[in-house]
Amino acid sequence: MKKYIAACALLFLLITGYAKPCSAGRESASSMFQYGNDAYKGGNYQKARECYEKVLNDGYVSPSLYYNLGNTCFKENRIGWALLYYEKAHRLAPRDRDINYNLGLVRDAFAQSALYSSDERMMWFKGFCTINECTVLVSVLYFAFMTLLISYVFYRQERFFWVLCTTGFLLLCFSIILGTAVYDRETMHYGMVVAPSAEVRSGPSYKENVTSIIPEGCKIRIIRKEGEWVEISVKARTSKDEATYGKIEGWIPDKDQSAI
Amino acid sequence: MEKESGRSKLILPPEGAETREGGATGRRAHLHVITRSYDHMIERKDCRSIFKVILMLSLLCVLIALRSAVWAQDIELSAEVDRSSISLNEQIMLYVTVRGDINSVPEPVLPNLSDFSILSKSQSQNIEIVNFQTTASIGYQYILQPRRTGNLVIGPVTLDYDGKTYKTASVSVVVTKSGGGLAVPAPVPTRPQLHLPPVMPSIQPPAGFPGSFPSVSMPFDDSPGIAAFATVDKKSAYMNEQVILTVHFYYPAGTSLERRYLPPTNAGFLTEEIAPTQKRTVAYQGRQYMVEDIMFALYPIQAGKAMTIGGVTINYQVRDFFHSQDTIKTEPLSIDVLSLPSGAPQGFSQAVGVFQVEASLDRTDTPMDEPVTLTVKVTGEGNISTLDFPLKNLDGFKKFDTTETHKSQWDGAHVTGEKIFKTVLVPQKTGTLQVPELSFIYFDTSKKEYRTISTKGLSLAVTPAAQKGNMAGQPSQGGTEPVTAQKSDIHYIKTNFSGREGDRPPLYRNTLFMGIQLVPLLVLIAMTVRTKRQESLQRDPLGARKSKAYGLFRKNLDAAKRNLAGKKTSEFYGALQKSLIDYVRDRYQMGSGLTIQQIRENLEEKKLPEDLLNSLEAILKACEQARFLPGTMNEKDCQEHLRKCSEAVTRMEKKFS
Repeated sequence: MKKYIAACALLFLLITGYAKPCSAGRESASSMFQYGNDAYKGGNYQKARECYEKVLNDGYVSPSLYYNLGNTCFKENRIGWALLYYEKAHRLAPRDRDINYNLGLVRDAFAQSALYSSDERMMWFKGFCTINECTVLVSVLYFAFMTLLISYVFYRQERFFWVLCTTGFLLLCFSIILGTAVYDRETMHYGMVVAPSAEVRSGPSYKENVTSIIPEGCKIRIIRKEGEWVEISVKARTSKDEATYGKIEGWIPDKDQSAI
Repeated sequence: MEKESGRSKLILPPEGAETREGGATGRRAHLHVITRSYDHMIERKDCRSIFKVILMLSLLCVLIALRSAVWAQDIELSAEVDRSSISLNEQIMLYVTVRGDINSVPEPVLPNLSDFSILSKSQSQNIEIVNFQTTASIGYQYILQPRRTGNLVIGPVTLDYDGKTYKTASVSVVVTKSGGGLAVPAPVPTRPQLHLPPVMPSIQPPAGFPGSFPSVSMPFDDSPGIAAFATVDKKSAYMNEQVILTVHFYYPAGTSLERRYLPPTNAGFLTEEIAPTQKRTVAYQGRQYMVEDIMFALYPIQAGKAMTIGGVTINYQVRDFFHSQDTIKTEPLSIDVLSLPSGAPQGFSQAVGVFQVEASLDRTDTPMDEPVTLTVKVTGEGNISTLDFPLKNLDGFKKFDTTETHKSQWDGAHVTGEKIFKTVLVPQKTGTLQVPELSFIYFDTSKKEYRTISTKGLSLAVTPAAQKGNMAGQPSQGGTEPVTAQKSDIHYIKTNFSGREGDRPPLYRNTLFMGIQLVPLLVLIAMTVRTKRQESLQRDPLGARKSKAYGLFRKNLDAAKRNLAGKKTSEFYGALQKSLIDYVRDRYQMGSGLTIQQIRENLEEKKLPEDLLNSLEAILKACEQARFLPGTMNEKDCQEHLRKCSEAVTRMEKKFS
């Protein structure tokens, strides 16, 4: 049994990426990241952004990379892009203090977050842990539950009964949460308005009427894509005093937004 | 009502009414329609006069609205210059006139005159009332100095009034280098205004009363003794030097009169009024006179001998029943205007007089990208209103437009004043930035030489940008709300990379991970199966042995094969015999310790074929023989018996399945 556990643990480590491969490419990406940091320190935000973008284009992903990109974009007054990168960083590291602070600060100060809200679901979950963390948690609970079940049923370990019940209940709860989160991830797509403002039209063409205008940094839900256009939905506050929201739905040019 | 409806049958219903109500719906409905339409006609007769009144009233309203609309639209806007070609050091007059029925018209907006400096601006108004209709014209006069040579264009002047935009045509001016045509500038019109003399206590005439009374034809005895003459404070002046023109207006003390004056029409001078006028009383030929001193500051803009200063016209009316409005005009004067000496230092901008200059910043330290205001103040006596202070680009700063304000005052002998130039600077780098000494060159009229004075150098400590609230490099506009309510900035960047290659799919998409999740489930299933089998074994041992018989046979046969490979013939036959006997015993649930004959009998009962039974018997006998008489069997026999044994068991298994 011990051998099994050791083998499983090893596989876990391999899968969840704790055993990182160290390569020459990674080292060059790391040094490029450092160049970007140096440029940022020197106040050359454009150069810093170019360095970070190069690391990103080389296929590297990290919360600090997105976070630093967000900072440079903010310094360059590109609020939409800054928010986009902060959101991406937040998805990777939802409990990071700096990322949450900057995301909140920029969103509240610039993006008229009081007026617009994307009807994003599972916000509490997304602010708490990543989907992978939840998957691992459910998996651990599942293994524990099965072990307890086998020992209870086949080895008559009566004292495990309440532990088994508790683990089973937790497993059920977290499985439901994980299932909802996975469903949300697979079916819902969100984006950020990165142009100074985006005209929402009634159809995917410049000939259609403009029904409303949404500002830069506004988080939108992407319903579908058609050529150069995306159909979006966003909630806008309709009353000045009460927090009542109405839905804005329509098409915006794809270039005005970027997917989170 | 019934009577009326009886009469009403004679009247055909209006066609429209019938069709509206539906004529085909029946006779009763038809009658009803007739009655109703007749009732309407009766009412209409009564209402006709009211309708007429309403119609008239609405027509009137429309007319009034139209009329006012026409009036409102009736505006003329024109712009013209006094000359179309000048030299670089000359000035040009731009006249902008708004004419029409105007009560409160905003000032016309001048185009971006980047090629000119606006030296002064004045305004005049003329109002006529003819047949209860007011026509006013407001004239704006601008004195412009070109900044470069070439064909310069003054863009259209615009005026927004009552939702409409009025525009003039563009005007082009050819500017040549200095020494071009000495065209005489047009007269400088200034605002005719009604200055009611301020109430001041009478003062004694000064001892050195300038000049004597000119030979003014005194009016008759019944007319009031009214006279006016003009003096200047100097006989010769440099270009742009201040010359004070004083008009002394005499009238008998105690006379109540209303007067207005028109400033002198001076070619070659810029004219500034000095208000308020001063009043005093003097005695002349036994009569007390009230003297009003009306003063103007003149700045020559053209050199020449005996330049004429035009007379000042005063319109007055004595407030009694016998005198109508009258006019008196002073004699023109002339002074010599000298050109400024040659050798003006670089940067001289036509400032003539005595000046001081100082500069200041509104702050000593500022975050980067936050604007600071540089204030340059020129004070002194001279052509304050027209002087300029060109500011060159400062190292480390981004310079924005300069706004200028000036005020002047009468100090009793001269016009003094101050002109303030405010420039918005945005520091472009951190550290201590220096605003160098700014020099100002003017022609000192008292010493008759060019002088250069400088401001003190200023330093500004620039800290790194603290708050990212406004766009970098642009001054924040006063009055706008700060974008961030709190004084906080974003957190600093992260320095550890901790990146990984590629955006991996989520864990739930990982096949290996999901495969591992099956392990406990498989374990559970295996455990269950195992337990079930154990349980069934405990319940039915014979049945269990029966089901395991073939497996056991194969196991024993393998042991036999191993013996054969090790050339242990007798052990081979022992194992072969055991495997066969055990199989038959378990499969057919016989007891143990049976002889070959007993086995055969038992199997005969199971109705096995005869040849199979013979074969089995032969094998078992061969086994016994080999065990008790070693060396009788060779390897070939062993192989043969092994094959036959397997064959026999396979046949028996087939019978069962």
